[in-house]
Amino acid sequence: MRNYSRIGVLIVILFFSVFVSCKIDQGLSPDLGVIKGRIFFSHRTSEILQKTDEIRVAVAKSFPPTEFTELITSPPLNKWAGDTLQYELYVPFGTYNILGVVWKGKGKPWNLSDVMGYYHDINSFLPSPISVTREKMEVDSIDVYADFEYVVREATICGTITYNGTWPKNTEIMGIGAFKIPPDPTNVFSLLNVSSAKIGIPIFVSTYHYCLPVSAGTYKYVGLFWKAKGTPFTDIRYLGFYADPDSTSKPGEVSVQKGETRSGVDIYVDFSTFRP
Amino acid sequence: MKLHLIKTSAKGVFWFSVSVLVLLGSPSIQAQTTGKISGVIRSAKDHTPLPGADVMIENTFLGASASRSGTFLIEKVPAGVYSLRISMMGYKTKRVMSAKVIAGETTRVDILLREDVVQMDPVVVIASKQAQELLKSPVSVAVIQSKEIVRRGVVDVVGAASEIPGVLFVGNQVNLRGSSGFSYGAGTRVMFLIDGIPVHASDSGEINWDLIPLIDIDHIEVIKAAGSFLYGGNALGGVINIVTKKATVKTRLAYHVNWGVYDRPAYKRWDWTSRNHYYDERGLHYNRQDLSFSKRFGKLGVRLSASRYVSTGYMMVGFFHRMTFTGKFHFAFTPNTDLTMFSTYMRDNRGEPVMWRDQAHVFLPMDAEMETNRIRVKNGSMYAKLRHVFSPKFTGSFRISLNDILLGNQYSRPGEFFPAVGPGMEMSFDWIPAEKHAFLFGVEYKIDRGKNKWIGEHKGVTIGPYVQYQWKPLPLVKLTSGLRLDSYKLDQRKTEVQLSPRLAVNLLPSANVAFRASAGRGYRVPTIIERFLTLSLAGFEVMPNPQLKSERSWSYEIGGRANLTKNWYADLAVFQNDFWDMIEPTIDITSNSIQFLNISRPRIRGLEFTSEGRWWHNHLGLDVSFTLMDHKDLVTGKRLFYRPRRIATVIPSLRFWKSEVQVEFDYSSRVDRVQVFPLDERVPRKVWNIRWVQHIPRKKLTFVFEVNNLFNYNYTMRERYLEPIRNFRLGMTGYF
Repeated sequence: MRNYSRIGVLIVILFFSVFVSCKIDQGLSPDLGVIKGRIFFSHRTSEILQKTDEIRVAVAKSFPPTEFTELITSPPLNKWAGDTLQYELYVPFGTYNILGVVWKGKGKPWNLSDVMGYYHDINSFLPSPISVTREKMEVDSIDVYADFEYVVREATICGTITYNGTWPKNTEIMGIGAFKIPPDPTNVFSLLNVSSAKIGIPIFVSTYHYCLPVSAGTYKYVGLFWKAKGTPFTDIRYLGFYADPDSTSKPGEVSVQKGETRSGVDIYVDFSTFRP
Repeated sequence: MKLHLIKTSAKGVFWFSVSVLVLLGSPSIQAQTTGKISGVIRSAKDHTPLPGADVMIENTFLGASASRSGTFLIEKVPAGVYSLRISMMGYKTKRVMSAKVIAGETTRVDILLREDVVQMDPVVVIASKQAQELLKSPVSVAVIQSKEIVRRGVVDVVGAASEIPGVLFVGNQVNLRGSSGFSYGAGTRVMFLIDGIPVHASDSGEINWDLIPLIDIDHIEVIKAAGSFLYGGNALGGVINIVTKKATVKTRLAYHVNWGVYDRPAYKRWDWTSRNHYYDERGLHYNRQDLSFSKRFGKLGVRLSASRYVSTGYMMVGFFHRMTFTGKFHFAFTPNTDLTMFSTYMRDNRGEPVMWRDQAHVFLPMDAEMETNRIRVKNGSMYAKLRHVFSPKFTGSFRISLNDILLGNQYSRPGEFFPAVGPGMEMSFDWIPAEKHAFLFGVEYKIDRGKNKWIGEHKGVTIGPYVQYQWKPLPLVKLTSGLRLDSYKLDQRKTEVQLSPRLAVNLLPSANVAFRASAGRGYRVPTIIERFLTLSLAGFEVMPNPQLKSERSWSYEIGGRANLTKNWYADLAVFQNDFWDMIEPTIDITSNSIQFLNISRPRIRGLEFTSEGRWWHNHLGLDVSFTLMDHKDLVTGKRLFYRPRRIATVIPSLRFWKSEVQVEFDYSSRVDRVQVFPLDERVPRKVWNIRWVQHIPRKKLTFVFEVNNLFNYNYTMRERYLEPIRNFRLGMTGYF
């Protein structure tokens, strides 16, 4: 019996020794990183400010984000200093592939395409990643140039997308965008010129009716873009577009006036000719 | 196929049941060709009698329970040679072979039962609605018994169920092999039973885990596969059955009391109580008291219990105050006819923080409105069950039940709720037509009625006849097939019909090794809440979806269990659960709306291993379980919400004399996806608990001192809700 107790005591001591010697992991902590900077606005008018509900800074780890839940946003920013706002955004440690300024109109839901500007490389205009680490908890001078003109949307384009053929199994994201300057199908970065877009529209469906809020003007390209699972942003593909009624191989133009809803901007997608 | 089963009224089912019982009651067991079996059941350790131990004659429905002196008597046993099965929770099940019964004589059988250090092969009823050893169960079944509940030092039913391998709680929502995810309790995929009777809220399907005082639990049984073939809707992810204790032969007053205090948060920056006088003065604490009285008065067994569970919570608005009262009455009219009546009532008044403010303020609710959130619940439930043994080979039972739950003052909306009422009845029969064949058949009728400002008024009626057939074509092989046909009619809509078959095979190469394989279909009808709820909550609009379809599943499993030594078993199972039209709450942040939708085609497959063992004269113990899961939507390829991919529990223990030290490590990998705030930091669950258990048999007392979450590890299982921080608890269980 004495041997048993000695061994028992030994095991208990062993347990506690292991606990004491181990580095204690306490999981979540209140330690967050912070991204700071200024936003310089252009085309700020009292009219647009009256229509503005909120302006926030948002970051996303993946680009493009497919839904609002993929964003970490700052509280609403409202302390104007001329045409400038200062911001502080508290974020968990990690690398964020895009930081942008998002706008929400009064009485309207959030729209992912209502981006007034984003933090980018000065030469390439590509989004610049921002890393916040335990070693570098504060990342300062992340300045952004934002333009109210990007979010003035007083007209709507609506239509039905019809999909023919079998959806590629590796489909991850579908989006629809309206462009005033037609994008270059060979250059994915021309997507950044999109005037209004909806990302994350339903996939694996046969039809989908969309409505896209836009600013008044003429849109030379209304089309779909597609991304496969596990591929980078640069592999986004153009899938189909609103075709010119007279020549279906060419993109059709869509003109909308202020307050107008232009319907019938239908898009036909044939997966049988699409090579994912 | 046009079915009119649903038109069968409750009254019709009742009178049909009574007629069948009367008709079948007439061919009574003939006394002149029968004998008796009697004997004494004692503990092998000290030869003290074991009142309450059950003796069953195998392949019949004849049996008896041991009296105060351990004696039992089974009358009217047809002459022949039988094997007896003697079982009692906490003791090894024993078989007595070749007990010969001669007409007009009494066969004497005295039995010694050995205490079970590890519950190797307990008798369970959940898997096929019939008592059978766990080793022979056609699907994965896990059990935790009251002795183990005391030993693991748990405070409530959620804690007790969490100790069962493969069971994971996300919030208050139970997940068996990743079945349910998290939806604030609405539409659980796990059927919750008390003594085999379903007790879900009729409008939301929510499980109220506090409906039973912990002290009333004899054991908890869990099926980890679709159980719709016997239990109908809600059982597509599995079944949890709480078996309540029977009245004791001797007068017994039992108590179970706990006091606990929460530690300070791991980081000073999180310390919020210094800003709040209420919490400062009293400290963050919890306490629970359970008390029960039990006695058998001749043919009447009575068991009365009450519990009070109060907590300040460890976060602001995390408090609750719960009271539960239960009564169980058992009347044995004759050795072959008995009636059990059970009722329970509970009240709950609690706060609901919903989500934290931000990661710098994890103990504060997301906004000021949440600080005044109060939820008041009143829940009553009852059942009455009449059982009659018509002949040694034929038995039947009839039960009526009612579950009534009132969610009052939900999220500061007083006076806008009405009780959700769920009456039901069931009739079932067991029949052994020949030695190798056994049938179970019956019919269940249930109404789910919900009414309040947020859902309108709706009534769903389910009627489900079922049949199960067990066949032993070879001594080592048992086949089980089952089928249930449910008709569900909601309001004036078209009746929906669901067919749930299951096929299972058991291979029993030796007394200590068993293999099992099964395939079964499950389904779940959307709850009234999932279809019709229209509500504004925390800035979100909950949108109704009346067109929501029923979700369906097929679950497949191959497994094996081996009793490696007399105190060590291991169980391994490989499983796959395929779902169609799975219902998930889907959040659209762009429009701030939540809607329950049928998501396309999820699959959860994986492997589960469980082992419990005691060695070195039971001084050293090791309980291990781990579950590996691969879960995803086959169409989108995305992981499912609120499910980890790995779950593990390891509990080494050391026992000397009457003391035991246990170290428990609970792990689950980081939850893959959450609905809201997916970019928030999430970490795996890595929680250490340490407990010291001291038994004082002379005083019939057990003390437990426990440190939960020893290293004050901070983690979430759903978005922005911190799981319990370090707390210290002293528990005492005893009886006199």
